Amino acid sequence: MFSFKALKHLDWTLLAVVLALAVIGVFFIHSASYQLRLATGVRFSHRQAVWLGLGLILYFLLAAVDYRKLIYFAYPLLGLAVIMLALIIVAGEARLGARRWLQVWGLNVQPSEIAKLFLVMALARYLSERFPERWRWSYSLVACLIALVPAALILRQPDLGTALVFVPIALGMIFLAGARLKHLIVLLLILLILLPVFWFTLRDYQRTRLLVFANPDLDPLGAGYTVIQSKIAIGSGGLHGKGWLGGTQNMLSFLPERQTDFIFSVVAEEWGFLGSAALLGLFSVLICRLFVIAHRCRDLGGRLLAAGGMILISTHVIVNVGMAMGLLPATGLPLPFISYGGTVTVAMFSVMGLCQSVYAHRYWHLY
Amino acid sequence: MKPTRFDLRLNLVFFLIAAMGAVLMGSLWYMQIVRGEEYQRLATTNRIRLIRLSAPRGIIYDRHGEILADNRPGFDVVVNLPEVEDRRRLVEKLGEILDLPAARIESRLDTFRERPFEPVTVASDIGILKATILEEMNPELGGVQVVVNPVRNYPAGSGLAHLLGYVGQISPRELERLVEDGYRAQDDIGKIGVEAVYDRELRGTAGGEQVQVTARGFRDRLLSRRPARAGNNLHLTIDLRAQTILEELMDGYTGSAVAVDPVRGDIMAMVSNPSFDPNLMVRPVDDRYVSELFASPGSPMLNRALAGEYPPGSIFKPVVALAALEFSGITPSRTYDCGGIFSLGSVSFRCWREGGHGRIDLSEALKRSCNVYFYRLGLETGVDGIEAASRRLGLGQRIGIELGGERPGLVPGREWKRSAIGEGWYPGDTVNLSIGQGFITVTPIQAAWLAAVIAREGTPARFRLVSAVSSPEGKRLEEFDPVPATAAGFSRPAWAELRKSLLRAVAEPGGTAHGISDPAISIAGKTGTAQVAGPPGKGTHSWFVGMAPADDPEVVVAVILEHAGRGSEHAAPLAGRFLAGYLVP
Repeated sequence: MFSFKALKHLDWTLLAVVLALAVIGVFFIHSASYQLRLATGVRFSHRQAVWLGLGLILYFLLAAVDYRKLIYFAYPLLGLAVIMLALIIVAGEARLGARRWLQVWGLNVQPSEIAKLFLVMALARYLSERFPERWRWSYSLVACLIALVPAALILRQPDLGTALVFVPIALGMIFLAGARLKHLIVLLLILLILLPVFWFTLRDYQRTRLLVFANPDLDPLGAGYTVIQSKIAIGSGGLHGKGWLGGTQNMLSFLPERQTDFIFSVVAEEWGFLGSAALLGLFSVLICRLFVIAHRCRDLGGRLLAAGGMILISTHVIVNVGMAMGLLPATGLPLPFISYGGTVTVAMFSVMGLCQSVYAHRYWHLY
Repeated sequence: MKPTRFDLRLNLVFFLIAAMGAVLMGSLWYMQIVRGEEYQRLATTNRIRLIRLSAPRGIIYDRHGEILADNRPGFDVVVNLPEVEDRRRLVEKLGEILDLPAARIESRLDTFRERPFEPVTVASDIGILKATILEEMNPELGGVQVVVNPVRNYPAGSGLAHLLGYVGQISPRELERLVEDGYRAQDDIGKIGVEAVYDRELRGTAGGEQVQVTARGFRDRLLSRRPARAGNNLHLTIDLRAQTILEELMDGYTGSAVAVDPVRGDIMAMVSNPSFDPNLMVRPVDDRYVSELFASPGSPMLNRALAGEYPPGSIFKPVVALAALEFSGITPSRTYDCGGIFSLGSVSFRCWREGGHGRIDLSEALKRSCNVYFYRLGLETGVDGIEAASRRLGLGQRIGIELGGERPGLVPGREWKRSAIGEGWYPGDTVNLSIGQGFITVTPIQAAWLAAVIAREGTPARFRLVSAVSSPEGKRLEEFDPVPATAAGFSRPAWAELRKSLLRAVAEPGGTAHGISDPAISIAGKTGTAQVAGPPGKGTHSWFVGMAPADDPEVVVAVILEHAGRGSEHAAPLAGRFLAGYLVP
């Protein structure tokens, strides 16, 4: 099933950019978790380096397999993710608060991150297989339902931020697959109508969480405080920054969640505008490469895979950076390749592996 | 080539993304370059701190709502280093008031050198007297604060120490494992016992305060506050009244005693002696107490009820009796002659009664605990039958109490001996096994289980310790119902014969436990006097397993007193006094 000959046709720019981002991530996780390490002794950057390695292995394995074979497994894989998400709700019922982790062989796995990856694959398969029926209602509707099941389960955790990522991915891919615009607009309206219905199925403490999302001032110790401190961190970075390990907002522990959701603030504080703009530049190159891969591919499944990957990465970058700058509500989305986290890192590398496979196997239909 | 619809739509999506990226880049420019200096000023004068408020642990109750573990206010001494003017004088003064060597205070102050703004806890739980003195001297000693924090308190003291366990500051290794579950340095965590097993229920959720501080780090103004949420409460099956009676009776003995309600499987009391004071483990003022405990020859840290593996002696005879009735077609009317001595080849085994018991049947042999009868019965049944019956009665395996540290005991057999010792099984081994000597060991909780199985004729409820979990407001979150155990099997007549014989052992003159017969309650039970391998001069272990009221037992009890002498003279009277004290108001 693996054909390493395909690796000769790799998009090396894509690989180089992803690697550069991930290495920058390890360095800034070291900086951001410096105080936490002194307090707990846990070396977060070492752990992240292990996941980087693991992600890289998966990246090459996936790139070596024809993506047409990979999408073939999309449905059972998404089913597996849905089962894991359901398990979390069952296992987490006894405890208060949100529960997003599942213990698998002693490792904490975050199924919602895995679900994003499998959703892109499942939609690519469904939308390309049923392409001849694209003018039908059922085409868009079923695709939406495929996304809705995991999204609803994630919303129950509750993790509104991650659930909302499913919306641009699903709608974007349905749009790109050639569905009728009328259908898309109606689906969007239905989604808006469904939101209040869902509200009443939530528990009290879950509603409080969502209210805080809408209005951070309700929770000045959590989200509100974080946003203020994050803006100070970014702004005070200035042009050149305070130097790696030199950020006062970071080192004096003013910033909560700084090795995960707010790591961009650490980069901006310590590397300044030059460094953080360069980081956004790297993400731009990455997104451009995915755009080119989607363009060059001549088969709908591959196009949708690459375009889905592009939407997934850009949504994360835009929401995460926007939230660090206080432009968007703090919802807790990681910055791909930079934020600390095992599942998310491995999942993002896998998405890139899929896109790389699309690129590497682009000539095969000629043979 | 004309662009396809896919290409057109892809371009549209891409331009949308690019537009949002441009907005981000613009904002970044605006924040860092245009307003950079303003933000830099904010950063250097940042005066907002988050202070973690630790959550009170959930309370542990007994079955009637008596408190077994709660929290009391403890006074901690906290130093804010940026406020300290004269560090040497501060250390000197603190040492004087707190009665601590200066070097120790210095080393505490240096713990968080990397975080100069963090307040440092120099001493914890100093007592109200010293706290008052410090509060009065505070203006003189800049930078010192007395903070009230909840401290775990065990009103019952050493009695339930093994069962409840205790909490202590989280260790670096524990922290590494648990940091992603929200544990932080200086948090308390359950170390052993119920406190450890149910830590996640009990610990609660820490809160926080957002505080504005002065330029020197002094607390200026409270901006907002999220109170800590207390942990959930646990309701144990322990009955504090039963526990107290049993503790008082066990005082002075080394050993263990367990009392259980066999119908619901509720563990009512559990004693392991010697013990320790868990209150001294929570905030060890004196490290010597802890190190002496761990080094003590009496192993006070060992929970003997679960981890003490003892030869059962004659309390094993009911197991042999059940094996004989079940596997070898022997009836209760089978008689053997006891002449006080039994010879097997060239080796002779003695009965405990010189001159013997004469010709007796099974019930009489159990009542009088005749060794020779059981030597012969055991040989006729065979080791395989005895081994099978033992396992069906729960010996040689953990009962499964949710406490950790439970030992399985040992049921020997042919296969075990071949692999563990490398020898075949000899008839002499069967003779020893028949009176609960030789290789076999049981734990006190297994002995209590054996009593419960007999009391319920093979179908007791599984032993348990926690009956419910409730929220800090007192709302029941979870209720655990008794769970029936897998039936042990054996025939009804066999159970009836056994229970009748154990009742006769107490009720009839000549029974080994007749000394504890009490007109107010009917007790059934079996004594045991277990010989111990090891240094000569050490006395036998004194055992008793029993139940009351005999016709429909509400309580079963197992008692072992190490090296105390005969079962009939020590363990049985103790158990009798407990049953009478608990059941007869």
